[in-house]
Amino acid sequence: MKKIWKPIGFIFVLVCLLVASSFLIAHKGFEDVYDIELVKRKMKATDQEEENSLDVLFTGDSESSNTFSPFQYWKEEGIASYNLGGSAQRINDCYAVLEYVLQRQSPKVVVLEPNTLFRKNAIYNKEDVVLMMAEKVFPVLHHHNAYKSINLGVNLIGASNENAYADLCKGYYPRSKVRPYKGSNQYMKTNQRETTIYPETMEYFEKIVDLCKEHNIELIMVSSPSPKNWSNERHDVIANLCEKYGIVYYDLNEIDDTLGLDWSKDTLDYGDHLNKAGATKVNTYLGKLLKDTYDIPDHRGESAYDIWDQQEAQLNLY
Amino acid sequence: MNLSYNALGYLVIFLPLTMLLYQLVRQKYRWIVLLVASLVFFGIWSTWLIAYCLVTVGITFFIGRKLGSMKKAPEGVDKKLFKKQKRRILTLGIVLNLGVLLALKYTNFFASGLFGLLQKSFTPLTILVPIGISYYTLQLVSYLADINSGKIEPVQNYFHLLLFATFFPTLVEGPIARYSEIGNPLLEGNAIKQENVIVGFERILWGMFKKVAIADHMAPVVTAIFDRYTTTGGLVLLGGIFCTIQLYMDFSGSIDIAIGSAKVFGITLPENFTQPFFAKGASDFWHRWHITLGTFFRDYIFYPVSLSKPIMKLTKWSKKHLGKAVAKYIGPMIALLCVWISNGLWHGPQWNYILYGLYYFVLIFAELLLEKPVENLCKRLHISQEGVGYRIFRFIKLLIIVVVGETVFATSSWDQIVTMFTSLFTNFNWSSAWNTIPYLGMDAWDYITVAIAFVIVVIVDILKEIRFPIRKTFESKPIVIRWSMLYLVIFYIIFFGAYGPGYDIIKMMYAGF
Repeated sequence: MKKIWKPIGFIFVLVCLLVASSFLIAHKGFEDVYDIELVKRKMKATDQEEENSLDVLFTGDSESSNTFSPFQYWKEEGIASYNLGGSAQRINDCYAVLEYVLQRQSPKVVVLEPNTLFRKNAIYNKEDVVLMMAEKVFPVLHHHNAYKSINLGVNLIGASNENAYADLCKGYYPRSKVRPYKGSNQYMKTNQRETTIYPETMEYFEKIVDLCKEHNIELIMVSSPSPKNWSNERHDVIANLCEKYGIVYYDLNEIDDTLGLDWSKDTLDYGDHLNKAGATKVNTYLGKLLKDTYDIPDHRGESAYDIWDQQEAQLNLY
Repeated sequence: MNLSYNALGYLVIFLPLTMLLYQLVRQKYRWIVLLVASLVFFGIWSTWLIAYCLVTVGITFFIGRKLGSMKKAPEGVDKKLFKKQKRRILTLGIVLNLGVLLALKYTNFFASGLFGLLQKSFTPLTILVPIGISYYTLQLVSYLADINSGKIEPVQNYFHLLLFATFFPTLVEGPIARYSEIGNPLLEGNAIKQENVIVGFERILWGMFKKVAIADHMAPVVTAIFDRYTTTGGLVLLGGIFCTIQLYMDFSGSIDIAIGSAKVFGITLPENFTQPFFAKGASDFWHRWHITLGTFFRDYIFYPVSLSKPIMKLTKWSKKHLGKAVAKYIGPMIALLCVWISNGLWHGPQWNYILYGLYYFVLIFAELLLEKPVENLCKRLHISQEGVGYRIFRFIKLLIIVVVGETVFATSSWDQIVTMFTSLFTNFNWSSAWNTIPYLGMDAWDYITVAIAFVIVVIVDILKEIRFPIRKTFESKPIVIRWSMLYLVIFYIIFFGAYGPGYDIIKMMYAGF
């Protein structure tokens, strides 16, 4: 009988340590967040922007972060914007970042790239039910990589460059690599993509809609051209959703020819994301559209925005 | 429910629940708990495909009993004829076992080859394969061969054999155990002992450390390089090194979990890895890497082929016509070729695996041929083969051999192999590789935590190699130190493991074979 106390004691201490570390790592206000590292980094990066200086915010997953380039909009149209999108960012994380940023910013327009709406999971990965339950009981398991938001201050073989560079580019990931898309030109017709929007995703989408209404912001949706991800079926689902919520929807997949996209040159990874050349074509069109349709002011020449010119010159992106 | 060995569903629900039930029932029924648990485990992985296993085990059971009843030729029956008959029954058993394996795993491979020869198009068939078929089939073949050679007695209960074939810790990735090793312990139903639970769970923890804190972090980098960067020489080299480390950590880590899981019930599974990177050469490497597969091929292919009548005849003929020096290599060469083609094919119906097998055949046969000349050369040049310099040279040579082998292993087509190896010589651009590293799926934190974990594993492997009594030393420490060390490992996995947000679920690499 004496023997049994040792394993019980070991497990008891383990549970205590899990509870204690969960308590220590518990981030109030982050309960609905999936990827705390990504969300915190985005929040920290946007803190660098002057209060009430941004007129347009972009959000979504990597389709957003690889396409919408604030410095191009600045250079071509004088639009002050920020891209809050991130790699594999889920809609609940889009909401968390947006809610945080809106405490300091009053944009006129929020652009949501809708690819993120077709992601299967939100706060948790439901594929592993046991892990999900454990993450709920011991949040340290869910937010275990929160330590990654600590800046290491070293560019270890360049591994931290990617995110830092994207932050410098105000959330846009410029990548020049070309890996051609060789599939059908009629990808919208031929693609068979999952079109389900899961209830939890809908919940956070509605929260974004409400948040924008509350702040008197025009929410629009813009699909970035992506032969791998988009299809007529997905277009219809999003178009219907937009109609239901009174949101304007621009599907740039429908005008890829007009935009001058050449899928043998303008994609980073076989039609999944646009590379810098492709994104530049899209942003020239979208910048004009935003300025003309939503009356976004041109801040070029204003002393409060001198820093934008300096940053742009330093990056020398365009 | 996810029942990968490194999944929480397995570690905190399935395994403890099986332990509880096992301990609660009477000793003579405990093997039934293990059997039911194994069938549930099998069912969760492969649902109705378990039927293949039930049938194969049934066939093996009856053939095993038949072989067991044929120990001696009855009076009045010709011994030669009897032996021939026995061999036919054994062959039938092996052919039926391997037949199911070949039909399920290799139909498309052979059919596409055949259609290709006939210059006709072939649409691959969709064939579902039960989990662990490559492992339990070999276990069943060894069971029949061992009965035939008189090493073991056949079981008298079908369900005993079924437990041997499907025992859940060995089902997914091995180790490929022999009936003589685990048959009786599986059925004894000894009570769970605290010391076994401690040793078992510590081994599981160590396996988790290797798989979750190292291998799973490296998986996206390996996938990215083999999918997208096959033309950049620098990255191909990095991919080869990473895939070698990933494979070792993933496979040996999963085996640690399997061995630990069995140990909890007092069952000692055979080891599958003994510090392979300290091997003296390719041949020694395979005595330390996937050991149970190597010993299976040695016992059931190498020896039988070497000692078979046609090979003996050929050796005799060679002696006469080619000389003694050449003849002594004929038998081993043919047997080795059979072993390595089988090894390649066992991994799957792909050309890269066959090439991988042939690659090791060439290397090991070359080692066999060059062993004496190298020894003589070293003596002449006064180079000690046990000296530090020679050992470093040997280590680097082994690393190159293994990394090249694993790169071939991880490819998916002949074109990819050619592209990748060509790029090493035609496009070895470090700066391009360097600039791409940030986009491969590991960040600075990942590189640091993986490097620390890797160094820890290397240190432990060194200690094992020099036979430092790690366990004894650990056990001699006060409980506070022991527990603190265990909590450190647990929390290293929790904080720095590749799971949850931002990480994909990585399958066990050898589960597909």
